[in-house]
Amino acid sequence: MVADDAALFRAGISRLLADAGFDVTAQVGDADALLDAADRDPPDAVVVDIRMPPTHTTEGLEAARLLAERHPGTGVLVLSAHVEPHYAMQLVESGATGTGYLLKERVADAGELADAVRRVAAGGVVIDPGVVAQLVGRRRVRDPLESLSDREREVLAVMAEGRSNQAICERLFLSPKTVEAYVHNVFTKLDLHQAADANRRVLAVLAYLRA
Amino acid sequence: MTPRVVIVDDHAPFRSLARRLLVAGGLSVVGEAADGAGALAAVRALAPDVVLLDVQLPDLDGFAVAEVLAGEPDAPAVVLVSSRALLDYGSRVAASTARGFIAKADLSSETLLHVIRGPGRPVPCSG
Amino acid sequence: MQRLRPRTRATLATAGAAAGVAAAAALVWGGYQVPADLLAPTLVLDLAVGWSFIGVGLVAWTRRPDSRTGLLMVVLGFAWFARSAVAVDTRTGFVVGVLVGSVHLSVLVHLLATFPGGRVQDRGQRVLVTVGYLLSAPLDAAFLFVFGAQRQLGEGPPPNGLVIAPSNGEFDPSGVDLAVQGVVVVLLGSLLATVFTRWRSAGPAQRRSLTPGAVGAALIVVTILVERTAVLLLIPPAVGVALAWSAEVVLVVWPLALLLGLLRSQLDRSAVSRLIVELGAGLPVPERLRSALAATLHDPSLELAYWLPERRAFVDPAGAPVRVAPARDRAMTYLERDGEQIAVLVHDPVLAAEPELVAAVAAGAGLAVENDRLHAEVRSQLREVQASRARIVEAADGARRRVERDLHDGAQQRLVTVALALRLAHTQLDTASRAELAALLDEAGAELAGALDELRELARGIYPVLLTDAGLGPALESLAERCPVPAVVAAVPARRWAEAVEQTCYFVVSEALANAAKHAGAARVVVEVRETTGGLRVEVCDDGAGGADASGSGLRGLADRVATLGGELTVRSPRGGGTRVIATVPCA
Repeated sequence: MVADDAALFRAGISRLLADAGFDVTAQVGDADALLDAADRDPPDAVVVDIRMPPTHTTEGLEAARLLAERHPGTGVLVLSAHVEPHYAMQLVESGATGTGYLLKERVADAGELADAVRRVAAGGVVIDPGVVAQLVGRRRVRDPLESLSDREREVLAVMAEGRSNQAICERLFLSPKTVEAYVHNVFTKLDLHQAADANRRVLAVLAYLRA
Repeated sequence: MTPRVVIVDDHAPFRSLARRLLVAGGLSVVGEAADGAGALAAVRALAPDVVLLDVQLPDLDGFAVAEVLAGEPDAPAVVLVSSRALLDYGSRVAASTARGFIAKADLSSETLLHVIRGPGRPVPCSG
Repeated sequence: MQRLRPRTRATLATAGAAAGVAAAAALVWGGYQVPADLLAPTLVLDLAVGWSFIGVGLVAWTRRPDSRTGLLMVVLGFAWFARSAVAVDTRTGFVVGVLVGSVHLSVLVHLLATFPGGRVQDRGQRVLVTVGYLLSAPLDAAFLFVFGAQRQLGEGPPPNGLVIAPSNGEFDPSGVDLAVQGVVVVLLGSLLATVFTRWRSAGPAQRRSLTPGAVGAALIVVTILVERTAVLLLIPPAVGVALAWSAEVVLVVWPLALLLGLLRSQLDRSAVSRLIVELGAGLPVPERLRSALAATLHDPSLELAYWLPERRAFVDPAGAPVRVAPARDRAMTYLERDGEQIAVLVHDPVLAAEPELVAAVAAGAGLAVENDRLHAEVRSQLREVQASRARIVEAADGARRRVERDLHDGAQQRLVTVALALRLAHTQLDTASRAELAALLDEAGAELAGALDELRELARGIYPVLLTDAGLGPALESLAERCPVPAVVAAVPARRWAEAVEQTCYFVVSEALANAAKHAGAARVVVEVRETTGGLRVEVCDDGAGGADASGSGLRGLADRVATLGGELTVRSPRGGGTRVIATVPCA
């Protein structure tokens, strides 16, 4: 299900998703229509623009919150033009499973969009690498991230994007055991508690990076 | 005979694409320059038939460069280009010594040939 | 100088009259033979000069107790009479007469050198006065001691030129005599030069009081000079006698000239009442009060500056800021009202010698000054508002120009390149290989991504969307996250305010962070927003180099922006001590 007020963009995304093997069940132009469509036939995942009528500000975030309440099984991927960790955090903090924040320009890479939709549909968290880069790159006094090795920082960034250990293995070409060791090191060095599930882990890492 | 062209623009990706576009259209690009001084040197060294000249250069105004080029022996035809539209320059293009004006987005070998071989008026365009 | 008490004055006047009578008596009955035809004019002039100095001196002393001139004139008068002791034909009379014979000349030098204050004020004056005194009594004493009282008593006219008469032509001066006369001539010459220089360098107000005395002094000194050098100049004895007589005549009138000079400013006190009447006549216009004060104080160069306590600055009557600093050739008088400083007069330093006059003028004009000051304050505020409005418009125009240029040089340029790449790809669809086409499309994609980045940055610079969506806290947090210097948002109250208030606070922090990163070389910045009674207080504090220029365009623009909401921006940036930008913004 795709919601965006720009018809051309909506059609483009639907086409990309259909090409990637998804079944696009509805294309709508605003949040109300999206909620109606979802109520009628709850989909596995929704791709929604953050700015939609009537105010063109953060209707997408509000729709994501309502969807998470009404249809906990539906993953929601919010598309945005803003590299603002604040919005991404709002999504993750709502505690909903299967949620994501992706920059609109990522859709230029069909693989990336499809991957993100698959992950939210499966109940995972997706945070745009650009947003994570801003958080990791933030200048700090006595930066605790400096105590991390380059590799550990890479692992931290990929964790913040919401990826599982398995995904980290594939991304960084590491064995599962090595990844586990890196993750453990990162948590120890930053004095964070290992979280029980993937969502909490992303939340903990993001909150840490924002503090 | 194929017109020999020099491209003057400080934005390297534009020079590279313009060269390939014009060459693909059968024109001969004999040189490039990134500023007004380079343009003068290139024109003196290469004696081209046409100079594709960006209006906004880091050192000199394109109109001023066109003025200087018009005073050269065997002065080449100067065609101004800009990412702005012709309208943005009011009557300056018509008042200049340039042969014509092409908005960058409209650049192709056809538009360039049209300006050079046309009646010597700027090509009206929407870009 | 203390005030002359009436009893002292009466005593001195009586003593002066008695001294005159005694001097006349000495001349008539002293025992010397005074030529009959010379007795009457000598007596008349002697008494006239002595009484003139004592009488006029007493008046001057009474009217201008702050000047010593009056006292000196009285002393001169008594010295004048005392020299007649030589006319008493006794040894004592001769010795006393010779000793005090030229003291009056020393006092005259003193008086001339120090007029109108009567006090020695610099080294030149001190030398003149000292040499003047050394040449009289001490020198005469030395003569007496060395040569003794050789003179036959009781023959001819009294010695020491007490009576002006032609010399018998037998003039045979000794070397010592010549040397003494030489010193006297040099002394008088330099005295003349001093008086002239002082007069020339005086301001208009000072000239008014100097001119009468200076003219008289010049006359006297020139006459004495000519008289003393008569022999050298080969002037016939008859002319020398005439000169000596005329010198005495001038001496009679001169005290009056001095008095006139002294009292001129005194006379002007009546001008103060005219000033008050004039000022009461109409509404003040910026220049009128100043010119009225300048006319009353006879100082056309007088400037008037008003103190604005809120801005802690002086402004001119038109409300433009002025710098009031001590200068060598200007004196300042601060005007107060109810113990509060309200204005300053910058004037000719000579007026500083007449504090009473300036005070009288200030008191007389006080109400008008206070009134005018309020007008100046309003004008100053108006100017400030106009200037700030102009700066805001200018800043907005500048920002628009920058946006246009950024768009044109950045995103637009890149999008043009994308368009060309796509056109090229299109023309080459049939001729180029798949790999070539893919490379061309990648190129277009990269340029597009760059254009997107630039547009995003530009949009965020124009207006931070997070501010409207989520409020000040998240927006400031986002600013801090992107700041190239480690920045911490210590506190922001989690609530929403009016859009203008949030925007202003945001731009204060944004500009302060940019300054900290760009200019201050700071290692750490702390941002704090607190609610105060009636408003918000934004504070951005860095540990950088300090020395920020609060009048630079960035901070100036911020101050204007804050001021439009009725707030205030303060920048504390001691060199080497970090920078602290504090904005208080009122909000309902």
